[in-house]
Amino acid sequence: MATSEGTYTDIHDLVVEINTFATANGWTQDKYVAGSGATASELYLHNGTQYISLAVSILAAATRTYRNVSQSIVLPRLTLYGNTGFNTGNSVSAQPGSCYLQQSEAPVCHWIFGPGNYKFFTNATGDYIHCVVWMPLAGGQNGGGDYQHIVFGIADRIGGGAGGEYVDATWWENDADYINWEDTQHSTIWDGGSTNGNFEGHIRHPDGSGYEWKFMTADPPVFQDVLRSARGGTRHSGFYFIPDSLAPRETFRTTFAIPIMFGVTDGIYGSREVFRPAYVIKDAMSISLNIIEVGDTFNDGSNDWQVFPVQRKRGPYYNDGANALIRYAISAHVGIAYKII
Amino acid sequence: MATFEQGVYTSVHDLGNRVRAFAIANGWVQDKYVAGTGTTTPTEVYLHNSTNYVSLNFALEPAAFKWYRNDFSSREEPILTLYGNTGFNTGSTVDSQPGSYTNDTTKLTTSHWLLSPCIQYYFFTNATGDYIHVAIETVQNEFEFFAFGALIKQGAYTGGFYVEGKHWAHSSSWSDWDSSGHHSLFDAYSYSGNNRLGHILVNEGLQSWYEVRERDTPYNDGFIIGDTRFRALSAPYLLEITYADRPPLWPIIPMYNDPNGYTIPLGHVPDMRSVSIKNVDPGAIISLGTDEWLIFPQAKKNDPSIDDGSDMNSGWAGLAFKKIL
Repeated sequence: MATSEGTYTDIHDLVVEINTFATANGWTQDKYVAGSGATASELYLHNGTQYISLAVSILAAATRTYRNVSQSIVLPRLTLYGNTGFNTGNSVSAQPGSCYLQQSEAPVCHWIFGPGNYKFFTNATGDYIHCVVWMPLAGGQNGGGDYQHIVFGIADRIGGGAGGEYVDATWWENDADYINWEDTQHSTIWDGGSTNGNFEGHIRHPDGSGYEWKFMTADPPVFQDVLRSARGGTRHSGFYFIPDSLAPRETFRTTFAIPIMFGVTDGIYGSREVFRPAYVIKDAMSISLNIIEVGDTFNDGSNDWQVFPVQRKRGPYYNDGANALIRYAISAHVGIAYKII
Repeated sequence: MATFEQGVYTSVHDLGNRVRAFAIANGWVQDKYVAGTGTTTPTEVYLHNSTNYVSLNFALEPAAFKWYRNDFSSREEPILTLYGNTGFNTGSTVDSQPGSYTNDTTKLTTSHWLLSPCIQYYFFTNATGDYIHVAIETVQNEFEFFAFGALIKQGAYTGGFYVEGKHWAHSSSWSDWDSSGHHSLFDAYSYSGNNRLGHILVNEGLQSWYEVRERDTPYNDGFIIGDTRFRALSAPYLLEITYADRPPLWPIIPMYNDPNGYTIPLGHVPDMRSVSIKNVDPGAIISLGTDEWLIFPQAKKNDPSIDDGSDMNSGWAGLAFKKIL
């Protein structure tokens, strides 16, 4: 069962579905705390050297900016932590070797409203759990038409060695930046275009200098030093491996799927920071959605891949109009392709 | 038909003749040949392979004040100018052939200081002659390059033919490996104001031929972003070799900035790679399976932290060429 597709009722139920899928694919549940509403659900899992903990809650209605409108609205939210062990007496954010203990930040995915749809991907050995969540358009549901991603797993290490465990989740800004697909305040998964500084994903690099858990972030760095970050990923395509551009990539009438890679610091030569390639995400690629539709599959010769927008396929030239009160996300043609195994 | 050749040329004219013979032996058709001599007459070579047309002007320019090795003196300069075209007309000059890139740009593709006799030259092509790649050790440990051929295209578009030449600045920046005043093959850091750049044919958008150079701002005016020097990982060629037995060989993927502001890969250069030579020596061979790749510095291997004007320095920036026998 390397993929699973279904529906969830709310974000707490989504955690149940993730737990079911992960434990059916090689992960061990270390602990599960059922929650509801504002009371957090917590889930602790491990597989090999990978330990993760996550917490979800639905904060009570309060005045918040959602889709560029200040309004009274509940806030469903998921926080994901990468760890190196499990201790049942520790809180969800203070597990052994937690990324949060090092960076004081962890990836957060917000505005996951229910009911909604999910699709989960993994491989035969459960090396990763990649979750895509989307909410129906019908009835003007909050979140309708938006796609969000929650991912954890272990990347392939270039050159051998330990490390590569990662945790990440979509963070999409909801103020006026909402419509700006190239805004660096978003932190999509495996994002090389984010300078948010709060909600970036983390990837573990235990044998390098500096922080063991590193932000997956933008190049060039705006707020982080080289010891604290890994560069690469989607959007900016980070270290310029293949296209150097914020833009989604496509060639002339052909879509071009690009491996998602991260580099870690190798040192400074002259005036230049040099990153070397270290990790490649398994079974996911960066792709332009310009000439394929959300949910479509394509075949690379041996495998089917399914494509989703990083948030909402729209634009990049679409304009809601200066006076539009409600604005919908524009993530242009920036997409993620997941391998179907 | 040998797909690899190495040897020594005795003059820039002799080099032109040898390139001509090598190309013809590998599927290129000679449209015209003018044997030159000394500083008075350039050697002109007109070739085509399928729809790719090139005209080459091998010249020994008369003595004039020029920079060479950070010295401004009067000297003769052996220099090759490569023109990419889309046809041939025997009555037109070398720089005004049908569909020449000179219709679209004033920047020329050149390779200069092709001194003779060289230490060794290396010609590369594949079984179908899709490209001619040339590396030359002109004087000890210093290398020049030029190339023309067909990209392995990504997507369907008209074009993909490239002409490239290394043109290293010999003024005070000659020891500055990250100077934008240089132009290396498929260079992603060559200043757009340089008069020496590569060209690629992309018959889409604004014009036919585009310059190969750095990213610019604004960058939506349609040109090719090169792919060596400041590309992958900021500068892959600077990487420490942390791999078991060899440095990674990075495919060279030129990118086109279309009029909408999208940056899209055009494909990749056949049988040429970008490589760090920090821990390998010029002339080394890296084996990948049954393939052999010859390794060269982009100009001259030196410590990239040294920029005192004393020596040519391309740091650890290297190029790898596939040797097909």
